[in-house]
Formats: sequence, C-alpha cells, structure tokens
Amino acid sequence: MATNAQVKVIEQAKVQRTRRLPLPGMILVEMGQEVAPDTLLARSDLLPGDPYVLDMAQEFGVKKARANPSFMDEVMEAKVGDRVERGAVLARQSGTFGQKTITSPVTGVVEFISRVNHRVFIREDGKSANPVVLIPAAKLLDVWPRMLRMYTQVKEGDEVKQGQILAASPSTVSWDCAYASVAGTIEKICTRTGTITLVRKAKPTLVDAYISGKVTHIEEAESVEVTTAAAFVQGVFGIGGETYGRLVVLAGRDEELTADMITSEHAGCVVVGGNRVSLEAMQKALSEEVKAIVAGGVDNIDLVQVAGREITIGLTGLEEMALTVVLTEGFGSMPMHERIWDLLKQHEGTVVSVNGATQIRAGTIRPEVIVPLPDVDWEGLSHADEPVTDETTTVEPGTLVRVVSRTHYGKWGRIKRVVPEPVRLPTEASVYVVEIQLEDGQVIRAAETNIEIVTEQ
Amino acid sequence: MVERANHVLAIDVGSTTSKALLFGYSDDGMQLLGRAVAATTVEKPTQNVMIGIDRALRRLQEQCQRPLLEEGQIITKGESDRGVDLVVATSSAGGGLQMLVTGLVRSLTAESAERAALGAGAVVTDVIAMDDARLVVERIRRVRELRPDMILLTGGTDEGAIGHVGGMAEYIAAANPTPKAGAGYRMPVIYAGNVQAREFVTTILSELMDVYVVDNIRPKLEEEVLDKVRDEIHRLFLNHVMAHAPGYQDLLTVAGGHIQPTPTAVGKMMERLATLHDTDVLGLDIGGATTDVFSVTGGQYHRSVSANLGMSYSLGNVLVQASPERILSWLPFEFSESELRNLNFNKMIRPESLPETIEELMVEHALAREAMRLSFEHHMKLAVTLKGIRIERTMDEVFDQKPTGQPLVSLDRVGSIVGSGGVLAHAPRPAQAAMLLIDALEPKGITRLFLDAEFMLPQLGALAEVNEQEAEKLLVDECLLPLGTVIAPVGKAHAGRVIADINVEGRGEFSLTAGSLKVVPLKADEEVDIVVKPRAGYDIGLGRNRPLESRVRGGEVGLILDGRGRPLMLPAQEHERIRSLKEWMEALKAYPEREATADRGVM
Repeated sequence: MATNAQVKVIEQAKVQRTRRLPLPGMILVEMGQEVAPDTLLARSDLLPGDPYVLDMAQEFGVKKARANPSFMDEVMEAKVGDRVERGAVLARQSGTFGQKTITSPVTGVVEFISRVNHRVFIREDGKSANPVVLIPAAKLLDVWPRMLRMYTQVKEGDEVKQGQILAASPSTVSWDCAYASVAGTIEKICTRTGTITLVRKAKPTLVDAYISGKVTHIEEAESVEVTTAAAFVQGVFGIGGETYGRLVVLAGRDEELTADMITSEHAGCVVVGGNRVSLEAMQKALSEEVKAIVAGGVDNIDLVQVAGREITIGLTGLEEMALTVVLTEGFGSMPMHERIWDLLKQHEGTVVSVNGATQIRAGTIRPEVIVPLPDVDWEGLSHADEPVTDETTTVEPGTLVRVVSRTHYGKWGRIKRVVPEPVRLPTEASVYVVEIQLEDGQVIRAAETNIEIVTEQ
Repeated sequence: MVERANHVLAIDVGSTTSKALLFGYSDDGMQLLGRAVAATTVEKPTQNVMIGIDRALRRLQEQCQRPLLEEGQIITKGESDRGVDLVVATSSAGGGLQMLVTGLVRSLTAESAERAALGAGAVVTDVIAMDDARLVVERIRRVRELRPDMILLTGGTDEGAIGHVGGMAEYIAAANPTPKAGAGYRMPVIYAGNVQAREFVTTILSELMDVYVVDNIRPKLEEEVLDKVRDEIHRLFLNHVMAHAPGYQDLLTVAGGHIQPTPTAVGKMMERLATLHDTDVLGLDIGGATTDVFSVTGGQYHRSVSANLGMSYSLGNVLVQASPERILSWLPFEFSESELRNLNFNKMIRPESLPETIEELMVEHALAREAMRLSFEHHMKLAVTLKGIRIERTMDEVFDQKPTGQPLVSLDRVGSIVGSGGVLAHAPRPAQAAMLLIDALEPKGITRLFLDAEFMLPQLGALAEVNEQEAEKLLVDECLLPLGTVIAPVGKAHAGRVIADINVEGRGEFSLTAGSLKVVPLKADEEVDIVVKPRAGYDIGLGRNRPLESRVRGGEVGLILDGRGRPLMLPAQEHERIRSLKEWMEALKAYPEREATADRGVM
C-alpha cells in the first residue's frame, strides 16, 4: 500500500549536518571541536553570484567578426585558475603602434576564458572588492548632469545586474549608454555631479554550524560535518531558512498563538504555538524579531501575506525572510500533537535549530526542529534522516498514525483494524480503509491513502 | 515485428507508482490477464527501480495465478504455465527524461529543438537562445542550476557562420552542469546545428561531455528535420540515461532494449487512434506534477508538457495561475477562498490523499478543470508549426514563426478526445470524467470522449513496438473506455433560446436550448444516425444554421447534448451560476445527490 510521507517525532536521534561553502575557502574549525549554532565553521572571500566579466575584443577595440578563437590564445596572459590582483596584466597585444595591455579591474580568480565570445570571467575576492562604484553617467552620455534623470532607466533602490543599461541617450548614429560595471543596488542618482552610485554586497561568505554539536568530518576548503544527539521533530511544511534560538512555548497545543502572546522578551527566540498562528501574530513576531514560529497550522492566505508571495510549488526555504515558520500538522486550525508539544515543552529554554525548507517532490525535504542533547551519546542512536520503514511493514493494528482526510484532519490515533475489503466512500469511490482509535477513544474510518505513519522511538 | 509471444509483460515505471500488466493469448487474440501496482523505488532509500517492479510482479503473479518470478528474477523464457515470452517497458520515473535545449534564435532553431525534445518524450527544463533577454552570466548560471539528463545543442543553418553556435557551446562548457544521474556520468550532448561547426563544437565540449553529432535540425530556414534528433534522443535515453539510473540496467536487460520514455509510447497510441478513427485526436494526461497534452492533427503529432500543472505537487501553481475565483466558480455551493487554499495546500503537502466527501471531490474536480484548461492553452501556443516533415515557407512566413501564431489544433476538427491520469481515471463516476473533459477543453461539433481508465496507454505503446496489431486491438477492446459522444453547436445566444433541433434515430427529436446540457442514453455498443439542425446562427461544423447528418456511438454516459455555447461562459450572477452548475451536474448524473446537500446545500 502506498502511504503518505511518514512524519517523525524522535526523542533521541543522531543528527548530522554537512555545512558546505558555495565557493572554495578556509575551514575555521578542527576535528572534534565542540561548536554552537553560531560558531563560524568556514569562510570564503570569493564573492558568490555572478562573476566579473571582461569583453576582450571590446577592450582591445577589435571587431567581433574579426576576432577568431585564436585571438584569445594570442592575447591572454592569465589562465583559468590564476589569481589576479587589481591592475595586474590580464592580456597583451602587440600592434603597429606598440603594445596594448589590458589590466584586471578587480582582484580575484580567473574562472573562465571564452575563446569564441572573447570574454574573461573573474571571480572577485570580497576582501578587495570595492563596495561603492561611481558611474559617470552624464559624462558617458554627454549630457548636462542636471538633465541626467531624463535619461536614466533605473531609480534609487533598484537592483541591477552587471552590464545592465542604467541610462541611455540618442547620439548621432545610435545610442550612448551608461552600463552597470558591477551588479548591485542603485544608491544615488546625483544630478549635481552627474554620477550614478552603485552599492554592492562585497561580504565574504560565512558558514555557521546551524546546530550545536561536534565536528566529525572536514573536507578541506569545502565542508564541515557537525554531529549531535538531539530530539528531532519533523514538520509537514515550512517557509524561511535555517535559524536558531531559545525555545519558548507560548500557547497550549489546542490554543491559537495570538499577537498579544508575543512580546519584546521573545526577540531571538523560537516560539511554539498551538493549533494555529494568526497573521497578526506572525506580523508581531517579525516586528519583535522572533527567529521562528513552530505551530500546528496556519491559514495559507496568512502565510502568503507574510511571505509576500504565493507558494506555487512545493519548494521552500530560500525565501529571504526574517521569520521561519514550521507547521507540524498542516493548513488551517489543527491542534499540535501532544507528543510534539510535550517534547518541545520539555526542552523549553534550550537553544534549538529550526529550518523551514520544504521540498515535497523528489527527495522530500521536510522542515525540522532540532533540540540538541549534549549529554547523550549518539552512538547507537538511529539517524534522524534515515527513512522510517519500507512499505510492506507499515499498516497494521497498533501503528500510530495521523489522519489527513479533511473531516478528521490532523487527528492522531492507533490503527484498530485494517478492513480487508474495499469500502465505498460517500464519493462512491471504493478504497481500502482502516479503523483508527483516536486519542479520545472515538473510533473512525479513514482511507489508507489518507493516513500518515508516525515514527516512534 | 517479433515472433508471436504468448505472454507479454508490460511495465510502466512512473514517478510515484510502477505498473505491471500481463497480456496473454486466448481464442479471441491477446487479452489483459492482470494488472498490479506498487510504489516506484527509484528514490532513496531503495534507489533501485527493480524493487518496486518486483513488488508489483509478486502481486501480479498472485492475481493471475501464474509464476512470473524465480529467485527474484523475471522468468523470461515463457512456458505454458509460467513466465513470460516478452517484456516491454516505459519509464517516466524521477521526473522523466529531462532535457535542456539550446538554439540561436528563440523562434527558429530553439523552437525546433524544443519540438524535437518534446516529441521524443522529454521534459524540457529550459530553452536557452542567444536572443533571449538573459545576460550571458545568467544563461550560464541557469545551465549550471539545471541538472538535465541530456542537452540538445542546435543553431545555425548549414551555410551560416559558426561563431555563435560555438559561443553557445562555450556557455555550456563554462556552466559544466552536473547530470542528474550524478558522479561518474558524463553529460550527453546532442549537436544538431550547422554542419560546418561540428568540429568546433566537439572540440569545445568533448573534454567535459560526450558529444553526439546528428544532422542539422534546420539545415535551411525553410526546412525542419526532427526525426534524426528524436531517434538520437531515444537511443541515448536507452544507452546513456537509463543505463545510469538505479536498477535500470537490469530492466534494460530483461526488456531486451524494448524500453522507451512513457510519453513517447502514449504519443504512438494517439497516432494509431487518429488513424483508426480517421480524425484529429486530442489526448490529455493529467498527473500529479505535470500535464501532458497530445494532439494528432492532419496526421501531424504534437506534444506539450505543462511542467507545473498537476493535481498534487503542482496544485499551488494551478491555484495561482488559474486564480482562486475561477476555481471557486466551478463549485455549486459557497466556499471561501481561505478554505479552498487550505484544502489545496494540504493536498499538495500530502499528494497521496484522496477526497472522502462530495464537497472535497468537487473542489478537486474544479482544480482539475482549470489545470487541464491551462495545459491545453499551453499546447495551443506550442503546436503552431508543422513538425517532422519538410516545410516550404515564404520568407515572410519564416520570420513569423512565433508561439502565438495560428494554432494547428482546431477543436472543430478533433473527432476524439482521450483523457488519462489519476483525477480522471479515479473519478467515481465516468460522467465526472466526461464533464471535466468537456468543461476544460470545450469540444466543438461532434466529438467522442474516451477514458484511459486503467492507465494502459503507455504499456500498449511499448507493446506496439513489437506487435502493432495486438496493441491496436487492445487499445479498442481493453484500454479506452468510451464515455460517449458530445454534440456541441458553436455560437452565442440568450439562455433558454432554442439553438438546435436534434433527431436521434430511435430516441426521438430533441430541442436544445442555450445554456442547457442534456443526456440521451446510448450505450457504447450502440450506433445511431443523428440529424443536427442548428438555429440562431449556431454552427455544428458545416457553417451557421447548416444541418449535419452523422452516425454516432454512445458510451458510459451516452449522447451528451451541450447547448452551453463556445466559449463556455458561466453565468455572472452567483445564484444563476450555482443553479446552472447544479442543473448540468444533474443532467449528467455526475454526482450522488446526497451528502454535500446536507451541509452545503449541494444539489
């Protein structure tokens, strides 16, 4: 029988997280070192995102049509992988009137040389990258500075890409353009000096530990693995990325988390709510700088308002949100299961790690709450990320399940009987059903496809 | 064709389930002996497709009382009481065959490349062209982010310059995307561009990837050659992609190479159906994540994939693309947007769950109507130019090849529509499937409706590779459930006005009024003459007010007389809309009359 994804509430499990740099860099910790969620594990000074691009044909003033692939072989002095300083010679060409050299406008590593398109890609070093770039737009367009705004195609606050046209004016035969020499944000368009100021993120990439634990594996220049024993709760849906904070339980398991429950004392905390978190509560949490909310349910329409966008496909976690939200049951008002609520209540005050990332398809990533247990030895504990069981051993009397049909959504209970024959539902569909004894003693029937098996350990 | 095989095992490995069908010969020819399903095991933790197939086969052998496995292996030497003589297979697991296609001009080579990949059964993850709006670094980043199974690189006519296509090859080299199959696998790249640039492109890419060169997809602007590319995609799918997928090597061995992408197999059956019925055919397969639309018009086959329109993983996208208001407008009761959203997203996070009440079922069907409508709209935008044949065009036409061009699919020429996919096949009443197809696709004139109720189309497509005649016979006898014939005059009129008089042999004369839906009982094996006399400017296919005589067949629902006009407009007034929906549902006896009535006032 196919069942829905199995959820996990594990009191003690081995949790391992590999923390990886997006670009090569330095590892800042040692094997066996104890780390906290905010411990920096690795650092890369290379700037992530788009590299700096130089068009060599343009730099040398050679027409594209005349520059064949061997042109780059002839002129390039730097090779892929070379580290170049700002001002260092990248390419050199000898001509009738002497030699022309092209120097690197940035410090970084040559990432790619295009022989066909005559371009050089340099991955910039954040340490030497200039965070503020002035573009003399009025001069480039040959217009009066105070007229500059008539020609700009961007405004203050706009995010621009490298190579994007910032301003353009008609010239005798075509258009004069001022391009963005780097990607960044338009800080100022000055009509006194005729310049456009671009500010860009020139910070190094820092990777923190995310969870408390011990360093158990290092891949030089690339990644660090951290391991801990932990109580582990898997939610069903979340938004927002990794965060951590002190665990505070604010509402009972069947109580709504409302705005008035959240105060300035909860700044930096992970707060736990009950059956539903309201829109106002999420907005208050944002203003009070709460790190994360863990709740049974939320109305989708409220979550969309907080996220500022529709959730179209089951892939979340990359939103740039100051608040992470983890749902343990689903959408709507749903009491948080006693076992989850009790487990979180038991660890109130502990610094926990939370990630809202969810991927429903292919790989199935579910949001998580990790409560580190520093005094517990992880040897012999099952791995929190291991799949639960295989499909042949799932549904039998006694199995703890959660009902996911709308009528009894979010209710938990144990299978009392597996009905051997298909049963006709009110929709007239004939399906296999199970009888479930709910926690209050009530016995209900649910289609086998409408239950989730819960891991017990 | 191979020698007659007495027992044929047809396996379809889908994203969520693996299906195994056993066919065997009896006095009436080949028949379906049994069918079993198990969860697909291509993902972690098992990561071996054969485990899921093995589970399905254990169920199948129990069901058919015929041993199919011995020591965990499929018995491929068939005997009278055990084993099979032939194994054929299709696969769409892991998201199917995912391809990145590139070209120089979006509306020329890139569009041809997209058509070739889609026609070969691939999911096109992105189309990258030199003239798209993205900057160079963005293109490279996009190529790097995607993890396709294969790349199709095209560009340039045979007399054109080689620089640009070489540039595109360099971008791919710079991105050096990781194949989905992971480490130890070199990305296959099919080069089907300017013949002069072959060596150049191969030099740029061969250090990092495996380059396969085939004929130029657009040797001239006026010529489009897709066959060679499609064949190469198919060959690489078997030898390269499948061979690296977990457990597929074993499947390839037992299937003796008779394995193909699922959509390819379905497409072949659509083409056969069009030949059998001598009409244009439209097929729609609505899955959990994607919806495939197939059409065969004037002998040409087209396929489109709407990658984010489906009934589970992609439901959030359906809601956003269609708008909650449109979805709610299909419900014959009041339902809040907040409730709809919560129900929708709970289904998205638990894709296997099924509706247990009429109300939930109706919400699911409302979403399905919109998912199918949007997918069909997408198909109409893509199926705009001839495919797979030599095309002669004037220069003006060449520069006018835009996806927004004149669609090639014309619903008044489509004589048969085939619905497939969970939401249609699992609909408790066939009338529901018929209603969804009519509401979503809005057939015009006289159209037969079929349902692939047992998900057999892929297996029959695979079987057709080795035994065409039997596959065709099974298509008619076992696979396609006739739902009925819909008669839909085209036009607009005030509700209540008579728009056509319809005489049905042996059933009487019917006056069809604007805004109404009627059903004349007619079984699948019954065939009758009809005369449709349109009025009020309506058109049944021969022109306004011109009568049409035809011979039609029935089905599970019967003869459906649809007077709602085209395009189908729901009444704007809330109470009118609800009343009309109830009337239409009652006319088709689509839903049970109780249950939802109690709490929501349905019916």
